[in-house]
Amino acid sequence: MNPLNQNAIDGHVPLDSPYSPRWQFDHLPLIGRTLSTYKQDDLWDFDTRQLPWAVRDIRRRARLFAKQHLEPLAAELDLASHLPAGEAHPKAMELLKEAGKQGWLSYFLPKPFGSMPLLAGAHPPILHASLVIEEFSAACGGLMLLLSAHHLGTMPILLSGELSSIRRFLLPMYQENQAGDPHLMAFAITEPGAGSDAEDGFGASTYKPGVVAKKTQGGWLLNGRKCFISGGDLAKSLTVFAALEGEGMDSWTCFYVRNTDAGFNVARTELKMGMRASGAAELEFNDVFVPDDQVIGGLRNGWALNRATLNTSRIPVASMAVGFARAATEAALDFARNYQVGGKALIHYQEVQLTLATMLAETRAIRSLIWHEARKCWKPRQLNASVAKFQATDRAQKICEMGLDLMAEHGSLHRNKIEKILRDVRLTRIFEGTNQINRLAVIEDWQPQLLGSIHTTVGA
Amino acid sequence: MALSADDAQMFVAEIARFAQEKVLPATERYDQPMPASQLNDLAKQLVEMGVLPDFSDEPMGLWADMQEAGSTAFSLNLLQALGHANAALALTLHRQALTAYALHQLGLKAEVADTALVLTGHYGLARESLGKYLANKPLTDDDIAMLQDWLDRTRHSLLLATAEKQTPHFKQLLWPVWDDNSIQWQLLKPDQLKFWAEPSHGLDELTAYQVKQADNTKPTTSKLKPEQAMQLYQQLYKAELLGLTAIATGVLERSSALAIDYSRLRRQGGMAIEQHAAVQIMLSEIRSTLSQAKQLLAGFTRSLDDTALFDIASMRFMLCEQLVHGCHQVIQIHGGIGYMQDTGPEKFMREQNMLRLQSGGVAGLAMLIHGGEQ
Repeated sequence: MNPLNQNAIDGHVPLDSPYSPRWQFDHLPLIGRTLSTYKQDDLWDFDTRQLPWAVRDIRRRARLFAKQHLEPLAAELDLASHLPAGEAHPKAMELLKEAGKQGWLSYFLPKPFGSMPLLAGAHPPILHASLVIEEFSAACGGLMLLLSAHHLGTMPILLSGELSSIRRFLLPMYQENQAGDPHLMAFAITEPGAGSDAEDGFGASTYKPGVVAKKTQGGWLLNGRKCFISGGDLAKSLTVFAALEGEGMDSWTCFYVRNTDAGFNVARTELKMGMRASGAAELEFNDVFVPDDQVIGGLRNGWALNRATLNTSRIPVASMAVGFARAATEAALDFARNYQVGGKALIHYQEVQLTLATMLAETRAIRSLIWHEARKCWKPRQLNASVAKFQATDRAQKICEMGLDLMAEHGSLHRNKIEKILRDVRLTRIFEGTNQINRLAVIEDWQPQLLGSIHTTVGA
Repeated sequence: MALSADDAQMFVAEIARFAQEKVLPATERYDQPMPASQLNDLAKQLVEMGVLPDFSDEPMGLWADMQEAGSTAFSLNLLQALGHANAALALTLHRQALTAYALHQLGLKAEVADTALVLTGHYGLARESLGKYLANKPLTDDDIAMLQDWLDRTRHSLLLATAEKQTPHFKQLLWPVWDDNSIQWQLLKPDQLKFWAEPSHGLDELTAYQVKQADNTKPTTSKLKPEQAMQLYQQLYKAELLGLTAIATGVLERSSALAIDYSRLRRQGGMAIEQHAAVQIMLSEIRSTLSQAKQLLAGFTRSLDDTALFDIASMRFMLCEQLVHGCHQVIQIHGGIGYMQDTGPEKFMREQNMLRLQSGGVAGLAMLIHGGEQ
């Protein structure tokens, strides 16, 4: 329903006015009309039609799921009390069950192994993930992370290309989820002494590893601590990165660990500013035994798997930013259409229209960047992924702040949503490498070209 | 101003010491905001030390004398020091001081600590109409309608951030209304109001209330002469904008100290992160903002009656975004740990956002300034 109940927004001609562009187009001769007339439909529908047809339905289904299952829980779970490590809000558990059944925890492989529609397999999974994550983020950052950090955990297994690991660890986990028995997997790289060092080659080359794997009969014993592990509190299994005893980060190896393994403990979960429906856990490893056949991708290949995982995940992180920017724009629009000042809705004032148009433009600009990158992203390149990540997340925060300012005092109220969105978006500038580290990752990856010739072509 | 510049400086130093010894320990756990009772106790102790204005022949205290440069300097320094310790406490005392000033000017008798104050309307700053009114420009019918709506307490609720003790137990609420083409004042009792609490973004020690006038009530409205009414509103709003900026500067200063300490401790790439240009640039941005904020505030240490409201508004308009950005950079320097509630930077960022949204917010200042400069 149109809360404005008017046929024009102040300062603009009505749609049926002879000065309306639409009216003019409709009255042009046939060829002119054909060239100039366009459908003024819903922007979301318009954008969806720009996607390859095989993935349009993923976007539609993700929005429907987000509207039905995430949005109604968003405010309640954001305000809910902080739970002890390992405990989950009952409604979050219900959501995980439903998400699993509907295939949102297994979409990185096509049917019958995973839940990705077969025909959509013609497009990179990163495109699917980006579409889904934008929709989930637009509904709730915390619940999006609850459902999405899991895919990050699975990525080293997928990227290892080891069919045996995929068969033994990934497929059963996908099946459990599809059967409505949630099985989350977490990605554990960050250590108390290493945030950026775990995400940057130069830093890693000087860092003394905190989690170390010691050889023992038939396997390895892991010792040390990991921190800020998204979803680590509820994960039933984890891809854990550890250095081999006596060696540096270049020996990093990926180990498959179950939460039931002796010596594994979730020490605590953090009290975060935002994305509060998802836990960030501190994990302890005290002589956790990992059999040799649970080494993922081979010894000393962990650093490569880690970097490949980050290259894969940074575009989806950028799409979180798009979801938040969109949610902020929608919240601001909603407020502007409904809140009355001086006897009319705020949207009638030009300064408000300018802000909304800028928010929309900024949101569409970062979405364009991400879709452009994701559509061809079969082999994610570090430079492209990092550019998308820092650019989208920096701009998204600005968009949220514009929305906050537009609402003035009312922006501070939880029920107007924008303050939560701002708290949520803030994390995207920090995780998956701070935006400073991502800028340096661009240079790191660009080196061959930068060192190879005097004149460097930047390209579009 | 009864205090000499030296005495005022000593007084501020004494308050800063109190803040260091009493307030900081109460706010050490960033994830556990001090209870309202503790905030009110600290406020009471500060009141006993003489923070609030008295209006004897030799007025002293926060915002005691709007005509006197020394009083402004004292107020700004004091609020920075208190903002550094705790923004909610600083805001509470700042608003109490403005309440005391307003009550005194209106000749109303009421206990300051039991009186809540609202300075603005239900949304923003009434576009350019408030600016025109405050610049004494002719008002059109549209301006008058806008100001009437802005200050219509029966149709719109407004926001009030207050220590719990005051609401719902406060005994009075003072707010401006539009009456006979002038801003006048009403002092309302709780039974003349509807109010309800709502979760909000920050200033964790305070509670956000929505307040509106109860149906079928007729509060008494002041009858100040138009020029007198405008002068009082100008004084209060100028002090409000300056006070908010001073508190926000204190918040960034405290937050900045965390960033400096952390950048010396945290290592990345084999060295302390303060040695990385990425961090050095962020630290410099914070420092530059602080330096600019302090210089700009110092530039306003003069009689408020001799200072154009629109100059103060311009300063807030320009500085607010930078102050918020500074607090974001503190989080960024901390990385993941800066996002956690027990570390501090995220709380300061939320406080900075809350301060920028107070009393009409910042976006509306552009049109206020335009209205005044037409």
